Amino acid sequence: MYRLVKYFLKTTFISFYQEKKQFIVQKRVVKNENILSQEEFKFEENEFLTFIKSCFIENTQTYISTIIDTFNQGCVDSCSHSRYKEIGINIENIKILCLKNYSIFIGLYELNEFNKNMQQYKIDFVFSPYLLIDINNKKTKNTLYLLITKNFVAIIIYEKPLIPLYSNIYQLKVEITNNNSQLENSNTDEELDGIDDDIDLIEDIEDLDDLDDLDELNDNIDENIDDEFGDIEDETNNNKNIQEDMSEMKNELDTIEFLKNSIKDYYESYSDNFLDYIHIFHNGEISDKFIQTIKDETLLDISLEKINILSIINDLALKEIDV
Amino acid sequence: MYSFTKANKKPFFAEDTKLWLIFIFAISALMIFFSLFLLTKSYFYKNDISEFKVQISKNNKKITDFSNKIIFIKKEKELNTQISVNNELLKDGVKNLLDLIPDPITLTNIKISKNSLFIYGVTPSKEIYNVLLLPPLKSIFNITITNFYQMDNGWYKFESINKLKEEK
Repeated sequence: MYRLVKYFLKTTFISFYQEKKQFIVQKRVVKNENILSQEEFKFEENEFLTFIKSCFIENTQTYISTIIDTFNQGCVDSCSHSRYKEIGINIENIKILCLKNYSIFIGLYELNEFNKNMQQYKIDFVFSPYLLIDINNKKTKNTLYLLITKNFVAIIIYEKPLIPLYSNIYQLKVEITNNNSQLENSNTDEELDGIDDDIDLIEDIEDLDDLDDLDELNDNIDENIDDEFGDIEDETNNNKNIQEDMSEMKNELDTIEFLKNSIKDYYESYSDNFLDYIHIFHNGEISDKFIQTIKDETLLDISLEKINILSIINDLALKEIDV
Repeated sequence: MYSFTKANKKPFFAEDTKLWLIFIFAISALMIFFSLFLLTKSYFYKNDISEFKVQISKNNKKITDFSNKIIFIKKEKELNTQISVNNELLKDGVKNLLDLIPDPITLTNIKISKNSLFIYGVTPSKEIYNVLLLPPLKSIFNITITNFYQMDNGWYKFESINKLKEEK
């Protein structure tokens, strides 16, 4: 049906993922297999809802896709239920996505919760992060494929005949904004305590002989308050930057720890073959220091590849409709 | 299939477009229905027209027949009138003829045709016949021939042939 429709109608594909409290969005308009336009946006939650509504008004053939980065998902080297039973996965609690020669599963509870939370966005397609790796790589044996985003880190290691043998995902903590707000509040409280002390001093002055003294006092208080608020703003910004840096550092450390644990788990439980490379897919900036740390910790060669997650999600959505 | 979820159903048209389309389709359907109604009506009218044409031609034929009949009846009437007139004339002629016959002479047979008169009868004598009947016959007919046959009692049977000359 879509094949018939696509020759006459435009189809709009919207892919998005959340980064902190922002929605990173790509809108792609396709007609007859040609991309007419492709734009990327950053929205707050309300803006994103309005954007989706406007897209649906503009074109009813609008498909919204995203990725689900919950921990309870993975790849299994077969589609058969018996294989799932072999490795101790209860198939009643999961949803299995059978691909060509392997399958991806996800916990039903997590998927339902995700759908419930995202109900307002009218999502059509939910993809696994593993697909983002799988669709992009040349599937070399003894290579660890790592996808690093600001929200999660995913790993796939392939085995002959190039089907995923090991997969793992780790959700990074992104609570910078909340911490900042708490910090801002605590700092502001401290500074305001200082102002309260000044006001207490005023109250202590009982012997006010003339109005000149009173004016002088008022001027002093105003100056003090302006200075204090200026300092608070500067300190808040500094704190924000420091917190962000700290959070990024923590995420990097968590990523390295997760990577080390995954490699250990792989060697212990999955394969005796030594890994030769780590191929990293990333959609943001990755510092050289971080790469060097991974090299030092894992003693493996690293190659980097920047990908556009949103484009891949839209590509997958297009394929999903084209099936 | 790559997604954990299936796509929601996508309507081809927005709600307001749907309303417009429903309206347009309804109007089109009404127009089609009305045109079909008109087509059917016109089809039936055409049928009626052809039937009426056949009937008209039949009626025309009937009118022609009736006209012919009227002409025929008129001619019959004319003929009838003529025959009546002729009969009346004949009746008068016979009456006149019978008036011509004198008392002593008795007729036994008369044949009347268009241009001739045959009289058969009995006369006491030739003289009575020649004096009483022959002159009026001669005055009427161009040719008068009389033959007599004597009977046993002395009377005569006579045969009178009278003819009018035919007009050329």
